[in-house]
Amino acid sequence: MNTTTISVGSVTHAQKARRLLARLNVQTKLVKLDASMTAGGCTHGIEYASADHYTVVMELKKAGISYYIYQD
Amino acid sequence: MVYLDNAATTYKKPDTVLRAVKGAIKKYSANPGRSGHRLSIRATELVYSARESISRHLNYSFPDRIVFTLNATYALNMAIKTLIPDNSHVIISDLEHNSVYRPICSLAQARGVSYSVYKSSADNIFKEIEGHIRDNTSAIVTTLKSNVTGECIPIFALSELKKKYGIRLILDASQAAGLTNFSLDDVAFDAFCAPAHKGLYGIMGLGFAVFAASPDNTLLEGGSGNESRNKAMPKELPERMEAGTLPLPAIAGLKAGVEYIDSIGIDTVISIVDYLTEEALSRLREIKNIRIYGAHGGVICFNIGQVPSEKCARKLSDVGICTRAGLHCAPLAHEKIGTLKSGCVRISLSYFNTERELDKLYRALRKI
Repeated sequence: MNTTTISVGSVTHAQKARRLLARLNVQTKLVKLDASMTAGGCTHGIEYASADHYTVVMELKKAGISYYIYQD
Repeated sequence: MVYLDNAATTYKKPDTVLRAVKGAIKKYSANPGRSGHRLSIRATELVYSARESISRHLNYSFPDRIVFTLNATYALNMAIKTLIPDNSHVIISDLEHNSVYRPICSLAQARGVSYSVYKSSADNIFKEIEGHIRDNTSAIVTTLKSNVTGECIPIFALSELKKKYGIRLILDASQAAGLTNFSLDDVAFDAFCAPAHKGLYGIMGLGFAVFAASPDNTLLEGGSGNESRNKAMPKELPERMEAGTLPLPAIAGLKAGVEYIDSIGIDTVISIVDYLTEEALSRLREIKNIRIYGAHGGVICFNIGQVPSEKCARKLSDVGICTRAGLHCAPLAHEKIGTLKSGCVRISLSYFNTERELDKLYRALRKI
């Protein structure tokens, strides 16, 4: 399965995002992101099936949670 | 043993709290929000789940604005020292605990802050506090419930003042949490601070501050588990205000504590404590030469004749009854009730106290 990973700034925001997405039946996984690939270094992100990408970004935009795509 | 010192800390905890604390140590003993391994992720999820349980209990929609601290004193220091500008004016009540009064006095000495004290027993709290507002008033910092008399300050009056004047509102809910049905979504506030280990039935070593917005300043800087290259703390809550490792077992305990209260219903807890307060009062009124200074919401303070308060408390302790005497770290409250020199004896009840225990108290006090 193809997955997409996004960074949402902090582990708490990642959890918040996971809760929002779970309500839409989008399965996600909390992951630690490599410091070499993020601006500030050391953060958590969420990984999900790439097929759910549109749903994910729309929901995060609605909730005002900023993100950037870490890995596609 | 009869434990009547719940305002200091609740002794009897729900079994679910004890199991949660033990379980956190046994099954989740990894640092939350730091590593990427399975155990750390599970610990991270437990912490967020605790934020959610607390926010549900407080009827507040933003679990990510709950910041964990060492205790309520730390939470209050954090709020007071990051939200009150230098050379501004602050309004506090005549009931404040030293966890509010001392940091305010410290700001007065070091940062040009001035303060005035409002009368908590005024008929119209709104007008009473309003009368203290000056051009440079930046904040109201107030307890919601006295740890000496049990007297409560109406949160909605405070909220209305904040809305009208745009000044900050920092709330000390140390005694009110777990014994008040809060709906923070309906309250305008800047910080709401509480300990885990009193009315919320968690364990010592944890408190929290609910911030309405991420403060510009930080009190403590250190590792936050994210953005390690940045020299400053992260901009967003809660990580901005949570430096260092979180006390995971205590957080698990607090989660279980608030869930326990919610499983019974906060209104049920309140009505039982109110009932026990009335029962205690009816017994105390039978004691010869007793002077009762305040009695509300589980807290009753008194003296018996000329018996020094510590002596009274010691005699009660000798027969297995735990109370607290003295000034209760609240000199302003004692000044208000006229016991600044003598102190007084305080009994403080929890949901777990019983009428039989109050009978024992009565029998012991009769002999003093």
